[in-house]
Amino acid sequence: MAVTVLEALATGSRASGASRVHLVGAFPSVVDWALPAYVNAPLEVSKFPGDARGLGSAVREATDAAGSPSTLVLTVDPNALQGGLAVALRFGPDPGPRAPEWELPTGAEGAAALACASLAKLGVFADRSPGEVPPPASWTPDRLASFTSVGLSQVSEGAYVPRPRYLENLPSRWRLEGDQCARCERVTFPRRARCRYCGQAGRLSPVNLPRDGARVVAATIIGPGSQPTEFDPQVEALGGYGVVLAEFAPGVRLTLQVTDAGPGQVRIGDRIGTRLRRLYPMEGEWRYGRKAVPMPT
Amino acid sequence: MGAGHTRFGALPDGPRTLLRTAVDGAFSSVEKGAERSAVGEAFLATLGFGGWQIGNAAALLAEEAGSAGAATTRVENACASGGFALRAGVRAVERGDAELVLVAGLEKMTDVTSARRRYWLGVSGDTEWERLAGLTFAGVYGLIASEYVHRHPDGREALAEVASKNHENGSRNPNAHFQKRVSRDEVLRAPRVADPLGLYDCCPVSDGAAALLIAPADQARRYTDTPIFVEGLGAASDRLAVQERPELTRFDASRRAGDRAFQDAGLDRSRVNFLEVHDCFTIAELLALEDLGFAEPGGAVDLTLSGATRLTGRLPVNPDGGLKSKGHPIGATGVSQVYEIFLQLRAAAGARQIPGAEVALAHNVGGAGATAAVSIFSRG
Repeated sequence: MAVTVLEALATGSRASGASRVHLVGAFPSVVDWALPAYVNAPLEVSKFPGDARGLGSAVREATDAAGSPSTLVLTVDPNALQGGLAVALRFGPDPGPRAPEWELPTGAEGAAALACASLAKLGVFADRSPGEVPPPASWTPDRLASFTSVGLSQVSEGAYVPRPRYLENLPSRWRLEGDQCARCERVTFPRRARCRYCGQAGRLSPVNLPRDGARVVAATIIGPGSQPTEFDPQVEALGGYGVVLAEFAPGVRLTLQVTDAGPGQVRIGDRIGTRLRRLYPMEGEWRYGRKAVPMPT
Repeated sequence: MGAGHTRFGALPDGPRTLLRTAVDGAFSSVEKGAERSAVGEAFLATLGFGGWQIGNAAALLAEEAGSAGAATTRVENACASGGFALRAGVRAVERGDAELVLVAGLEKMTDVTSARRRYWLGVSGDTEWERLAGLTFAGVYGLIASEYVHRHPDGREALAEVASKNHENGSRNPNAHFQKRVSRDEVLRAPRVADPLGLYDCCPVSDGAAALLIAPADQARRYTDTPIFVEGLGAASDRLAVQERPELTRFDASRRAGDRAFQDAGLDRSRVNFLEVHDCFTIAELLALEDLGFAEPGGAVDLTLSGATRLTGRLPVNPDGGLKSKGHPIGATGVSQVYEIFLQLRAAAGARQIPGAEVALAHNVGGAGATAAVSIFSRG
């Protein structure tokens, strides 16, 4: 979810945003590497405990540094549902022409108050202010239990993709980065350090594929019981899911799970968008990747 | 010159027993007898499903065959392991490495937990991208079938005919996992597994083993008066991930392997009397007919719906029931296809005998087309 917020921030004019990120809460260690990789720029990442003192320190350090590099304070519940809550506060001299809606230029006090309320909503302060802000009605105990019971410590008995393999793929997986060959001009995706078409190993330059607008070439619906085991908790909670093969450019195709749409809603010939979402837990952390959504209007 | 086969299905036997049964069958099929100690090379095709013996499994083959001391090699190309093991065995004979070569295929799949089984069923596809999108092989073939059916509206009916036809053939095969007939309508009404594929479009998870004995052609009549000859071999590979291939509804590995096998054999496709093709999912049989050059792209629909591929048709396909009905013990499948050809060409296939069969082709695919092996046989 942290990256979902980051993705929103990194879109358009927001990309020139923070150069420091303060993470409040129990973030997996992968984000230290992953956030800079995602925004494709150096980012100074600091972590703070997910309690009032941690938040206070994060906000104080961010405001103390006002006038120097802009800072993003990011809180997120690592056990929340997909699409659950995350809050980002940005501090700094230049928010850019289009400030993100969750930016609060009202000073540290107001920001901290809102962040505290948000953290309470996320359950981080559940022991201090229980029930202060009730969870959304859609979080029925059944659905919540099925997700929290997964736990980040559970190692999926699935195809084992060790962290280094996951990390080396992130530019392609998150930013849809391919390699364009200087000789034949064709795009190899995902990046493989060699042109798939002419075999050339040098003179490749990264190119970002459009994140929205890919055309669906094939579409299936995975019925319950036919999913890889790492998707068992998801299927138990939410049922079967759609998977599409979409073409982003000539010869550039990607298999994507469908989200934010009922099974069968995305069909062959449709256009889709892509969003960063949670995939499944492995090695004590959530693995993220892109999923297909119906084409944003 | 010899071939043996266990039953396929959910069996009480363990891997050693399965190997022994198949190898014993192969030796007892050699009318004039063959010495177990004469086996100089042995190849075992297995994925090692469930992880029961990931390393050194081929040593067990020589042990259970009573051919202790033979040079052993495990061959692993997922579901195409058997076809590639056959290739390795034939090449060993051609090179003169051994007077007698044993090729066996084995998989024991039903004695692991269902979660572990689903884990192992997906290990041969692209794990970093396609599996992370939530696909097993059923899902990958579901994607392929979705595009095929989108292009060829009668395709869904043809898929049902493939399932129904192969169950009919399997009902005549005492070794088959499923021996009951299934109507097209039942196929179409079955629960969906990976749309448009339903339960009856998918092969079962089976235990089983098969074994072959191979000798130099000029020595064959020392062992039997009815040897079966390997006329041609072809093999190829393709990109592991289907998303990295230009087309979803054809397997270039199958095309190349088929072309190479026909070139090697010096035979025309019209000479082939029947096919054993890799129908792990019904869509795979339609693709095989097109990739091997027996139908144009999309033409497998009409060919199948015309009844030509039934036992009584002009080009029977999968007379033993195919993977669909006979079962698909991964490493055993490619060897089992040759066992069926061995029986048919020797007119020993009983209730499913194809009259006068002289030339046959076996087509074995690994995963969703990353590897493929094709072999052509004749009665000589």
